[in-house]
Amino acid sequence: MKATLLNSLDMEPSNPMNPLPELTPEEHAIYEWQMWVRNFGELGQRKLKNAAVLISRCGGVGGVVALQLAAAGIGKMFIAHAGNVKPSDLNRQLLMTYDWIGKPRSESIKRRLKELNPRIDLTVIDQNINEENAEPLVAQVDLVVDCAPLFQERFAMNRQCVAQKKPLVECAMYEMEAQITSIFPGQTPCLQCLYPEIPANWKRQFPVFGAVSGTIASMAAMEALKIIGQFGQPLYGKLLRCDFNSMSFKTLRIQRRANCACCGHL
Amino acid sequence: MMTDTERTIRVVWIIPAMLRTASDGNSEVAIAVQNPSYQEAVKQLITLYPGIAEHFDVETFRPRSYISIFHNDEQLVDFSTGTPIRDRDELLIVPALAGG
Ligand SMILES: [Zn+2]
Repeated sequence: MKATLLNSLDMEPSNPMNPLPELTPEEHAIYEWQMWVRNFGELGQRKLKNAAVLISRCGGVGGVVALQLAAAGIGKMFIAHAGNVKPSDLNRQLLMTYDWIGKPRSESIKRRLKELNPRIDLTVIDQNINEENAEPLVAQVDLVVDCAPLFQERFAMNRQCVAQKKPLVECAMYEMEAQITSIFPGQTPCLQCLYPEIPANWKRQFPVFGAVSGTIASMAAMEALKIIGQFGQPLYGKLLRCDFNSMSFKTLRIQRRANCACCGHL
Repeated sequence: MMTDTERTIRVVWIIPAMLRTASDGNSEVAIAVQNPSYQEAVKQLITLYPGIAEHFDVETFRPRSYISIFHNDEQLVDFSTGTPIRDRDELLIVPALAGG
């Protein structure tokens, strides 16, 4: 399974149609310490530079995913997040700033990410994911990280990633609990394999500490880096469930659903 | 020596935050089960905490579609027969979450 998953990203440096970009001296200086990571190295860094990632919503989870991926040197990033900054964003949404309350979140996101990494090719869309915009957005990227607070958005994203066979890091939290899995369509369970229908009782507002959303976000960023950089073992077919009350972390084995309405045909 | 199928065993249910209003705030619930099976463990859980019953089909004991059940870290997918469980096994309820 591993080889298929890795090859599907088509980022091999030997591919003359898609050569990996070289690193500049400045990039060498910035990423030196992470290039010391075994099995990652300069080749891994060039894969990150060559990659495009979509992050759905840039709040408590997505904001930290974006920050970590920008810091790590992802070349191209698309972020979908509508609305203006609210006071209640500021306990966890680390890309929003106090001086920007009442102003578009998309501008705050752009400003903060560019302060950290001015080299990144960044597109911030002032919209949340829906059935219409998911298809063209997913088409432009190598991987998606889903951090949306509504199941309608998550299911739309899952459907598009399955349709376009793009890897999807699915991460979410509630109160002191969080969970994360990485989906490779057709080979691992998808979101609808795990949960076939949208839960009727989910509420848009949920209890959250920024430290919980930020921790699962950093794990999601690490999943994205491993999948793009082609090292380590992503959470394919596994759901990591974290309980921050007891600091209990369980890696659970999950299964594909043969009759899954979304990926059962693959 | 008696086997697990002939005696009362103890299993632990782990209740997620989203369902804890129905379990008096308890995150772990140890229950005694006779004729050990997953179905019997669900029956005992909802007898103890009736509020949790709405998250299961009370005829088949299948969880609702927004819930996954893990038996010692393995996802339960076949609810058609009496899934055996053993003394000190753990049953974990993992609901769909979308906090982002
Ligand atoms: Zn599926």
